Amino acid sequence: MRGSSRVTSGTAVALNLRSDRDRLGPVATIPAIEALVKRHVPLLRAKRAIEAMLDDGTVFVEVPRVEDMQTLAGELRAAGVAARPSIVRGAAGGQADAVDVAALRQRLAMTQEQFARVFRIALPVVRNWEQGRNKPDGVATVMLRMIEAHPKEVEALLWSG
Amino acid sequence: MWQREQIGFRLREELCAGDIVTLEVLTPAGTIVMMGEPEDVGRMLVVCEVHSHSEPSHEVGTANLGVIAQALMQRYEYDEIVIKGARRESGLRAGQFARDIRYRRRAEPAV
Repeated sequence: MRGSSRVTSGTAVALNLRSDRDRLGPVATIPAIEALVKRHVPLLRAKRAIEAMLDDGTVFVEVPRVEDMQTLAGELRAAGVAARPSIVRGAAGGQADAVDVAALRQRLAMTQEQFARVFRIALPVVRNWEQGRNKPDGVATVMLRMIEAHPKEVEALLWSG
Repeated sequence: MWQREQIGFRLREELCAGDIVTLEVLTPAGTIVMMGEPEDVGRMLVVCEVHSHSEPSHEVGTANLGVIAQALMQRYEYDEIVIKGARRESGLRAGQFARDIRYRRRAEPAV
């Protein structure tokens, strides 16, 4: 475990991490954190992500530089963490591609107004994304990927309590 | 039970940033990696959000944990260590938070 160096090139990946004691055993938190840090997740964010996963069973984290998904998934599995890419895109060494917000909204059969209201995003923000005046930032991109993968669950989460 | 002088410490610099510090604890049974968020309160060290890992996995036991704490206080000149809210990562209560653990420095036993 000692002396691991950071990966030098790769693709940004939004990951869903899940603890699975029954299949993978207890979570080895430090190796899991180290696997994320090696791929340029800031240490504090990596630590908090793994702690949130222990609390909630699952967490989303954006990993800036993944050289090979199988290698990362293998390292995390060895640490008791199941990893599934939310979506893998982007050029080597670069940021994740922007989500096509208009296509996502149309797939969900929503108007811009409905999409903005359901997912609690300001309507002008949605319009600016769709018309290319602005791009979603990292956090917004992760949220859009979550909407893409689990629209009903995200809606339920946003409107609960 | 281990002896204080059998315990060594090495900083894992690539896993230290901001408030987070990661130490390798070198013991007769192997290396234990400990990661936490320490804060100095006078000569007391308070460590929050602690995680530990050993490879291969081995049982440390409460007595040996006390030896590690004494060696740490001696090496880094603290009178007291408080470990707050460490999460159990194995055993029957895995995933649950342990109560705070407090160690006070004792004089080195006479040889």
